[in-house]
Amino acid sequence: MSVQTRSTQDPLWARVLLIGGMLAFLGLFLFVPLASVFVEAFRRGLAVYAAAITEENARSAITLTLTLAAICVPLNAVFGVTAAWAIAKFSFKGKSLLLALIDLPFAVSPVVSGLVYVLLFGANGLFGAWLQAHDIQIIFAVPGMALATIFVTFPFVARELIPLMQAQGNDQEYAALSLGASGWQTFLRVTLPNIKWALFYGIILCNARAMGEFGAVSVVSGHIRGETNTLPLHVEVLYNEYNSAAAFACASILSLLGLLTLALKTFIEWRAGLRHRNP
Amino acid sequence: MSIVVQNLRRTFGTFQALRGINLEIADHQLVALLGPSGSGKTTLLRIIGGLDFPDPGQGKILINGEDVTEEPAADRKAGFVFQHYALFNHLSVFDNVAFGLEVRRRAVRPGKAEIRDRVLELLRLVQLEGLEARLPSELSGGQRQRVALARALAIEPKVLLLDEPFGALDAKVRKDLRRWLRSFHREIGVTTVFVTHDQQEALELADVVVVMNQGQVEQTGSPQQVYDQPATPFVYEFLGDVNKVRKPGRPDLFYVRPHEIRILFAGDAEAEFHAKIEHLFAAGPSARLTLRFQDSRDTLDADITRQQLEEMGLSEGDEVGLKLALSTHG
Repeated sequence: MSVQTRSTQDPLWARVLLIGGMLAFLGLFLFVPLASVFVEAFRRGLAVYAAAITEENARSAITLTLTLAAICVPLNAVFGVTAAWAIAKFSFKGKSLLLALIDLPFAVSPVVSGLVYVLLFGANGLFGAWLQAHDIQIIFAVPGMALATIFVTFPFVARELIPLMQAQGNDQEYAALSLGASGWQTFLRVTLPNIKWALFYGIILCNARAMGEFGAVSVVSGHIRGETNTLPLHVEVLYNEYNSAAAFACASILSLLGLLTLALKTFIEWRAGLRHRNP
Repeated sequence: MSIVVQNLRRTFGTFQALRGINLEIADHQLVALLGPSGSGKTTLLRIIGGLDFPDPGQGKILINGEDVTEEPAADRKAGFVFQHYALFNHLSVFDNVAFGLEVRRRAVRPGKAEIRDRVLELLRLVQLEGLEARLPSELSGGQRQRVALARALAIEPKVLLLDEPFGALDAKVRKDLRRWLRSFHREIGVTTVFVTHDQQEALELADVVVVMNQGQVEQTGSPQQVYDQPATPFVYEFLGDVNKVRKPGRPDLFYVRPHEIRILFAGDAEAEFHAKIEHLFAAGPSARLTLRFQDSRDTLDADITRQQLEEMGLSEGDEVGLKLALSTHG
């Protein structure tokens, strides 16, 4: 092991240059911007910061963001597990088509994802007249934003689970069935524990995106302050009004959510790694 | 309990995995499904266990006289042991073995204390007492195999089905476990079917050997029957060493096992053929000669005792006479 490490080691100056270069790059493009968010947020003092994030529109934006995540993440966890289960454990016609469809939200621009729903459910959209006749509001309201968010965040859980479930194969499920377990018991007692960490990981990534999504939600929200503005949209509105202290204050909340996600992700990777070494 | 397989067919796409299998297995028997890979033996085992199903309307499975062809695995009570054990990695040895009891409907589920007694009893039976708190990853291959066996036995199976039970073990453990399984089967008496591609394993372990090839049963019989009276050229070739040679000057092929060849002095009046010793290898109680017929490119292997080798004073390059204890085929 140590012999191999030594033989593949580059000269000192090369290592210093490479590592130093990378650190400089990371610092310049990742750390400095992130730090500047917090610096800007607190520039005018704690009182202004507190006021900015407790102001009514900000509070409603935070509530809406959390609501959307609370709707989308559980649904996508269920969809993702179902899709991964179908793809990994069964062979059927159209399987590769389904795989491609799962990736679709990653492939198209979020703006397009939002626009699709406007075209379908908007006033002049396919179902627009019918929806209006029945007094159902989807676009420029929470349902439309939830739909757009679900669409954009759909692949995270499924993508995380499919390779793992494929690698695990079906033998344990078959074993459970032959021991008399029902399909549901097999899922709860065998499949779910085996995919637990990958599922958590997928859910965390899905949640991060659901809270941070801008493009798709922006198209369907209509930017009604205090009603259909999520936290990212609220930040944009404030920034466009040259209210940079409030904009950065709200941005700092988003950043904190991001850092929390990273911390959770690292923790889960560490736990999963422990299991992997000693499964 | 008895197992009957009638006219079973199974197709995967265009591949015919099983082409009309008929089989009768009596109660308490230990049966080997023996064949090369792709012969359909594992598919047959999975269908008996309800993990796979025959083509619609193509064949029947009867267990203890009862038609179970359409019955899903969960209702069939066939204990299945997988090639790579398929133990539940996240559960302890105890919980693995208890699984089949824990998932029962409340009405027929034994109480906690009873489950505990049953599991510990089974672990004692497979000689794993004291290991109930371990995770499968903390066990050796042979121990995992026995956990899988105990887990399958916990549901009091009507039949026990083992897929390549020793396939993933090293040679030493394999031999020990083989012997252990033989006496274990005698003790519990459950009708047991195991799949193997190892002829030695099948012959040594089974009461009945079912030789399979290309989705069909070539021969069913006791180890001695299939070895001494092979029904087809395939069985002859697949079971044990065999020479497949053309007699000098004649077109027909014949099969002869190395120990069925008598080696005589070249001048012996009984000699049917003459051949030259091309190679001689002596290790253990017997010696192996590679012989080449005169005026032929065919070679064949013959086994003789070390004693005979020394008495005749044979060495490479010598000419000898042959007499074949023949059972010809082909």
